[in-house]
Amino acid sequence: MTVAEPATCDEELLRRSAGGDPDAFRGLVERYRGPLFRFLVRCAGDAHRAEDLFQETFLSVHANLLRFRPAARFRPWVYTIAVNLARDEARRRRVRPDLGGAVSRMRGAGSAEDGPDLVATLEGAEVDPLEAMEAAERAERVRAAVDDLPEKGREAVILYYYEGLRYHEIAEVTSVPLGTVKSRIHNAMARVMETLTQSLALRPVE
Amino acid sequence: MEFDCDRLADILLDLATGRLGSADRRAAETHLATCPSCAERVRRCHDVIAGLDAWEVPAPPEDLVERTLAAVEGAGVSPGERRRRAPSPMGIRPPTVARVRWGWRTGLRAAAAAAIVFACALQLSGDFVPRIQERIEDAQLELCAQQLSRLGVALHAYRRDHGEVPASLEDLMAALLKEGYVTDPGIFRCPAHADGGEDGMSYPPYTSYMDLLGMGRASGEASSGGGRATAPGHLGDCPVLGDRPGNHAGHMQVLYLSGVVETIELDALHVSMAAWTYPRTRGGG
Ligand SMILES: [Zn+2]
Ligand SMILES: [Zn+2]
Ligand SMILES: [Zn+2]
Repeated sequence: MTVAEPATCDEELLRRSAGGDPDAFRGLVERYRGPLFRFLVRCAGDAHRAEDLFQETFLSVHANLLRFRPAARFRPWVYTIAVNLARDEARRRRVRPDLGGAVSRMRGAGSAEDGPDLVATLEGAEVDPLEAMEAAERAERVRAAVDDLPEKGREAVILYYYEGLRYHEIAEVTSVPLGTVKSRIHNAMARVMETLTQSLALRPVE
Repeated sequence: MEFDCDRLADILLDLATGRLGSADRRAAETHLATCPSCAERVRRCHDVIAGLDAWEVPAPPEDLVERTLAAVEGAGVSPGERRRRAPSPMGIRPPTVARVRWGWRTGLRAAAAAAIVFACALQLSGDFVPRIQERIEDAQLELCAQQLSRLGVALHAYRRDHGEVPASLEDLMAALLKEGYVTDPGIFRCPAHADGGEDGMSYPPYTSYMDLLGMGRASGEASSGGGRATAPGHLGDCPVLGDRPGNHAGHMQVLYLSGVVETIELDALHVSMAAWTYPRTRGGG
């Protein structure tokens, strides 16, 4: 086995894969097994769908090995493929299952760009909504709040916070200008905060 | 630069997620020490951020890698080859192939088109301009296809004579010129983009050129890839070099190892993916 000592960069593994080295391709899949799977679970909301999307992503990588530009970077590319496949998949399902986002759905949908202002939202919050929750409820509420974001805001938050991508990488992956990425993330975070606050306020009193 | 409340609002998320560089962080901390309202914002922001950590996801299945490799194997395609599976990869439609199999005879048309460019340059005015622009672009596409086609012939002649080709495009260019397979160095530059890209090349090579030809694996026939999971089955399908997506408005042209030159129409999505890959062609889905 000649796989992937940590020093080998993604692009080198990709080049070797294109040259017909199956161990190099395996190395790439292994390297992205954790991060890409987690990302897809958060995007698609379900581990089974995430697994399908993970496989489809690497089918697409494999089918395009020879077309990869010598100077391009692998990480934004593989996330771009994954994002597009996840969007397609969501479109095919049309309606995403209701994950407790009733509160913000009542507010009506909105674009990812014209969400609430983060600073104003933080200012307006009277209590820390999460402090009052049990851990399990907290996890569920956060998941629901992120899940309830407009698609592009959700992608941006997941890429930014959970995957640790930089603004410029997110701009590449989602094909939008840097400024749009920043405002998407800010607005999406404000919306998450708002949703959490409202869902707490609407919680039935025990 | 004055570090005020607006500046802090701007970097709030980066501060709360620990992404600021040390200089910015120190400046922010200095401001926070004197501004209670910003300090409160940061505290609340931390709460939300901390909340995000509560969303845990399951670990990937143990056999995810094996199953993915099996799926790739099962798809039974070599890289660059067509995959017929819904949905189309990357959610993009295959490009429309406008013209395939550019031949020697069309070279005459290219010369005629070049003449049109010259004629048009004399009367750039009024309503003619858009149509002239179109004709110039057509002529550039033709010339470009002619160049790529001649490079294909030169490459084949070189491989026939030497049994292999140089490992890089620069070496290839030098060798073809030095040994007289081509005579005009301008042939390596797309007429629509004569100054080249960031790296000075308007016909960057494909990965397959560097890996398959450059490493000497492609000296034989298509069957040389036997047994390797990712080796291409049909070397003739390998793209060798071609346009940058920006060379022509809405088109790019690619030379394949088979010698075929293809003109591909680009849609917006292809242009956005083109940062990483050349569009798939030849009926690839
Ligand atoms: Zn302040
Ligand atoms: Zn060209
Ligand atoms: Zn084939």
